[in-house]
Amino acid sequence: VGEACERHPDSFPGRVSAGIAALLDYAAAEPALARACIVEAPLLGAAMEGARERALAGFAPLLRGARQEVGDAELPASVEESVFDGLYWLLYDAVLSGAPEHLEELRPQLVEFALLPFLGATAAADAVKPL
Amino acid sequence: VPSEPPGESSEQPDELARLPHGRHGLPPEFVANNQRQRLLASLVFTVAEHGYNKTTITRVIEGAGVTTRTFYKYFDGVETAYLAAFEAAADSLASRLAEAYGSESEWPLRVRASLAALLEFFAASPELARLCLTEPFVAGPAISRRYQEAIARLAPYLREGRALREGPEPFPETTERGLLGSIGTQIGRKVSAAETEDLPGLLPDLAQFALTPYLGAAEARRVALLEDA
Repeated sequence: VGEACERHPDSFPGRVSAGIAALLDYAAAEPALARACIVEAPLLGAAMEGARERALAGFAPLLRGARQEVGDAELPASVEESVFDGLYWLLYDAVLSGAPEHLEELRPQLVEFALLPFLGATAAADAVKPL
Repeated sequence: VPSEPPGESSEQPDELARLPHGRHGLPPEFVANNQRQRLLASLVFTVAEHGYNKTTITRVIEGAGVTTRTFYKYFDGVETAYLAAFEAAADSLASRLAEAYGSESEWPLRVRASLAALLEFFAASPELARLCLTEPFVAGPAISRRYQEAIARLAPYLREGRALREGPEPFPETTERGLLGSIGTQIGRKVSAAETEDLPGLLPDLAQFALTPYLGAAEARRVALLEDA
């Protein structure tokens, strides 16, 4: 995800799209591992404490610079975390529903979800049109 | 709904004396004087204290003051009892949310009031918060799916906001589930950190996050930061 994001240093929507594509490609290539990380890992409860923070740190490049896109509106300090939590939930929801092989179809929805708080509805929708 | 300390009310049977002492925030569905509800209440406290994976029938029946035979009269096992407790909690929460939603006439304020009610519900009962928000991820697929269904059940509240947004493109179908899943996860993290009493303080950030897709960031912030009337 980090490498994919680095290929789009000047475009926030491009960075989000590439990072999420890399994540979904990886999940499609390694479905058992994806299920283990997304659905099975929380079953370990307290043993997984700390792993979430490490995982989030790995995904941080996805939303780096996102706040600069917002203009004058002030965002909550927690908005990046909120977006990551929502992305995680949508992946969890999809895997739990038993369709991990179709995860890549979620790409436009996940990208739009990640862009929405920063770009607004219209620009976020425009950004995913090419997908 | 606080209860009187066990053993101090003539309306409570002796068996309830084994439930945790003092005030708690369980809704009435969990504190009525019948065996099934005592079992559910005991399960809620047992899960909160020991976690789902260490919740046993023995612990639940000890807390409820009933026999194993009585437990099996109502439930097949811990998972079935958990699902029943989850359903009761979800029903109770759904009525609180519906009431809060109906207390305002404008959609942004309805959402804000519902979020406030959600946070207050779980702040009043850390035990139910753990049952509903953190343990479903630990408890296995059947219970996770019930949580998933509960999230889907709340989505229509947010979906009504689609009528307010500008632009011709509809949101992806998953938008509301993503917003609600995120909100549930953020609340659950506070619960895991034993910071349940701080939940109402999340209202401005959660309200802004939930409203931004429909209203834009600036208007969402304005509504989120409104003082309570």
